[in-house]
Amino acid sequence: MRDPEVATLACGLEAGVQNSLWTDAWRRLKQDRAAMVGAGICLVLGVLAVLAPWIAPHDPNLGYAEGLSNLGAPVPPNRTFWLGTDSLGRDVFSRLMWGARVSLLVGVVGNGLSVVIAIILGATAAFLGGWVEMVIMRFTDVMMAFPTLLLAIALAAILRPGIDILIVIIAVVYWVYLARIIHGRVLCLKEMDFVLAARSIGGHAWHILLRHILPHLVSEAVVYATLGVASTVLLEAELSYLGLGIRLPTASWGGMISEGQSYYRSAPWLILAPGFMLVLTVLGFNLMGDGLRDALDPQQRR
Amino acid sequence: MTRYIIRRLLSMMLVIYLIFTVTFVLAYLIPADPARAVAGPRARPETLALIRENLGLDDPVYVQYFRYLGRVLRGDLGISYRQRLPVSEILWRRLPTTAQLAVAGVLVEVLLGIPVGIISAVRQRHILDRFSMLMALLGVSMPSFWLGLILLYIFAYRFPLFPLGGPGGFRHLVLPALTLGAAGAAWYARMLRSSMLDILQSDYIRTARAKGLPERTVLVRHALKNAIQPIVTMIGMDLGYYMGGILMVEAVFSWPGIGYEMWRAIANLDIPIIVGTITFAAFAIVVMNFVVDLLYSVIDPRVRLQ
Repeated sequence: MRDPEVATLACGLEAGVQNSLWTDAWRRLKQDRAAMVGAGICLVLGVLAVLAPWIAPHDPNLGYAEGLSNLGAPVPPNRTFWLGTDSLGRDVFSRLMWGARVSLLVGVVGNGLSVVIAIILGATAAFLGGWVEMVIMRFTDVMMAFPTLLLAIALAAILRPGIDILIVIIAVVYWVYLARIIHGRVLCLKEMDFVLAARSIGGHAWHILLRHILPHLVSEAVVYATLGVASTVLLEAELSYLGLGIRLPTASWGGMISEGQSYYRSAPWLILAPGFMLVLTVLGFNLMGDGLRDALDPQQRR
Repeated sequence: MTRYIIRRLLSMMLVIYLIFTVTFVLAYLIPADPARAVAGPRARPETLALIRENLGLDDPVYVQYFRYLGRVLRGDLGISYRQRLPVSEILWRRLPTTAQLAVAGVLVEVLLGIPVGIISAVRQRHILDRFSMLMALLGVSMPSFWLGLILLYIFAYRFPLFPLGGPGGFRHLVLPALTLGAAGAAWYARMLRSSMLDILQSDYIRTARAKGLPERTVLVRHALKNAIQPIVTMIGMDLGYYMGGILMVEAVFSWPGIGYEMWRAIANLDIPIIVGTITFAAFAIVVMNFVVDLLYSVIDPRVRLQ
């Protein structure tokens, strides 16, 4: 039997203090200015995305006649079109708002799905052990060898996905990293005394996994569900930029940059605006995720 | 040491075998008919049947699987639909171009990231530290293809200091290398800063200072030497990662490496090149990780003991 105190420390748990994790975390998060800025950015983007159909000033897919100059070129930012228009006379600002829907939907749902896959596979592997663990963890090793972007590109090029398959592709290429972490955590947790206690009073294996081990993975899941979005939003933008993501004319930030690329000399706002949105989104989720990680880290509890 | 190498070699071979299995599944998943892709849309049924027989597409899956393994092990990645050339030959020809960009990018990462990381750690909370960390945060948040376009706009169009893209000498390499290296430099700076800060608090640093060593020696010989180890690993892994093609950067700058080749293959749906490239990329990563592990076990003997 291992020394319980050592095991407790090794798993990053603290004996004695209970139920105050979330209140504690919230208190720490509120003091973290960077994290609050990040959370604010995410909130604003989320509101823009959800409300786009009602508050966008123009139709995102309609080419306006007054949105093109006499020579048929995109119009720079003005009072009607706040961020200018693109080569088809469409309003860039409205397209950005609609693009936020696509980017956030694909990023958030794709990443959420990958967190679910990672927890299921990582926890099952560690908890069951034996050949199940061998198979799952070998598979994780192999998936890790593939560059995320190239694998996603290959899958997208072969499957030519709609938005649903795109989300699945992102989840499929992205779960490996978290699965490794969850695997390590569960390996550690299952040696702990409270698991032994549950087992000794005859707790069924699945009951122990679901009721006693899974709750300890929630903070990891929350942190990665936030931090991961930064990467999945970028991945979606890269795929859409290459013409493998969301199909035109549906607005997505990556697609807008790709469309605007041919006009960037005369109309630089076409690549600047969607790029800023991307940077802002990634920055927001990174800041919030870093903050959550610090706030939920039990070792930082004071 | 020999035992360690043999053990790592065996596990690497298992992973490589599994990589080939995954890419076989990937190629097998393709809904499009490969025979039609080879013959073109107007081919007659007899031609299609003949090609199918030649390519062995009518054989059972397991026969195709073992034939595929045999081929890949001999370094044969199939024939490009478009260029009618062996994929391995195409990749081999593009590899030096990609390697050139990869090395230049890693150089930017190191030359930019390491000094910034050190200065930020030494001048913690100083304005210099805050500014560099803000830039680093932006660096890791920026999509590389977008940064590339912005750099092109500023330094190739507005102030034409560098060419707009394409292959060539040093001047052609500057902007792509900066684009590639920016995110990595930002990562290195952030990592080095935090590991330096950890180490500067440790007992042996206090000892070194207490015995009156000059601060410079303490920083470089004692702190940096340890703090830089994870970065050495990352440099090796980055190089491995880049060898399989730096698709986004190569696409933006029309830099004719492996990633550019794959980018064109996407448009043409040239499946053998797409699957061949990711097979090669995964292979390069695994081999590079192996090399890094070996080097690491030379630098740090504790690794061998595990």
